[in-house]
Amino acid sequence: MTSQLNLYKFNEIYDKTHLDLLKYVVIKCHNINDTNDIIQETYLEFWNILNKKELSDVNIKSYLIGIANNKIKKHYTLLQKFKTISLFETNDKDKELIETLEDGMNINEIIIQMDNWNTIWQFIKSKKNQDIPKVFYLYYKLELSIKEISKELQRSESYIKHLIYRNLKELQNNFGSGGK
Amino acid sequence: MTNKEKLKQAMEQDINPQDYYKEIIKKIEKEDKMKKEKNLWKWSFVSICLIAIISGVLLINDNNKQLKPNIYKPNIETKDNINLYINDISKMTQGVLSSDADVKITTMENISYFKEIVGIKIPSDLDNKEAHEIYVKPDRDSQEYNVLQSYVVNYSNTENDRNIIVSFSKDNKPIRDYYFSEEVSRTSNINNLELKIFKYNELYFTEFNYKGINFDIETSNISEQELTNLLLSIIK
Repeated sequence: MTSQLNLYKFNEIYDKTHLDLLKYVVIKCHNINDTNDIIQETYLEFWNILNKKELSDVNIKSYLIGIANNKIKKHYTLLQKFKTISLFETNDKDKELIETLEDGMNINEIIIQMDNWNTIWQFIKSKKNQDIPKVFYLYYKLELSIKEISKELQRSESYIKHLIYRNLKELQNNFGSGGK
Repeated sequence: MTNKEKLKQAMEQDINPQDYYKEIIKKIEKEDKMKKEKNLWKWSFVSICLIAIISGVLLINDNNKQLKPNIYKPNIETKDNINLYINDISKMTQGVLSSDADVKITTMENISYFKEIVGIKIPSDLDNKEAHEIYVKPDRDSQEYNVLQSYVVNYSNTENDRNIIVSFSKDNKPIRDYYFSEEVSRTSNINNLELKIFKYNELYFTEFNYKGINFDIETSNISEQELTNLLLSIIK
């Protein structure tokens, strides 16, 4: 009976928190492919805690984020952190490039020959610089603004714009006419 | 559909809260099942232990508490070959032992003397049946649970609020982590076999040796008539 009550409570908490947790994990993880595992591990640990103690006085969202944070720390060895560290820092050359980019570059305007967006998403995810899939996910799926992404990832707005525009161009080149 | 919508869809298929929610629930259920299996004794007897501890504490705090079981004859169809007494110990203290055992799932058919228990009379609603082997360490220092101590078959209804646990072994007395003071309790007789039946609220317990097999039976929310039928189907 306790288990069933807790499961009901768990479902309720899951519904209320999973989007915030998803956003948090996408932002904080080193590789977007680990998102599912980290979220699952977080909720499983939360389930075990829920069965052991009363959490009525706790801010559940913060509590879950605390668990997720520990999971992320444990998930990556130091070596993995170095391997996945961003190789794409903004420098003066980038700033110059950003200024020359067309402001109006829009994903709906690029022409994709091969209409397989699952492959395109896998291509984006396979980028060495994991900021790219993160920014794409936050921008196109969770619909955060450039400003919000910039704040969450602690990167400049121009860097975020640069990532989006440069990779849209790459998609156009690879998957558009004359591409793959 | 626009490119943005197509990309969004591809992302949703890849990182899908519904999918990982299902995975989480599956893992929760799997973990619960594993815990249940591993802690069979805990699950089966934890309530008894707690009750025993609580009643022990109450006994210390209340010297006027009843120290003798309430002995009565059950309200069942009377037969010449049985003479039953229920030792109702709901108001007295019991002892708690500690047991150290591991549990392995088995099937009834794997039990070598399966035929001895195949015909036992279980109420028809208890249609869930789980068989377990109980293993203990060969000695205190050993890390391995490799000595088969006894078998346990748990019959339960769908709601899991009625059950019968039959533990048995030819070589050992099935282990339990509680015991009853047998002083002042009254012995029953079924087909010339003597045994003591204890009651604790909605639970009945008894243990006996029949044809070389040590039985230990615990029931929950089973009527006196159902208990009698069960015992008669074993002690023939």
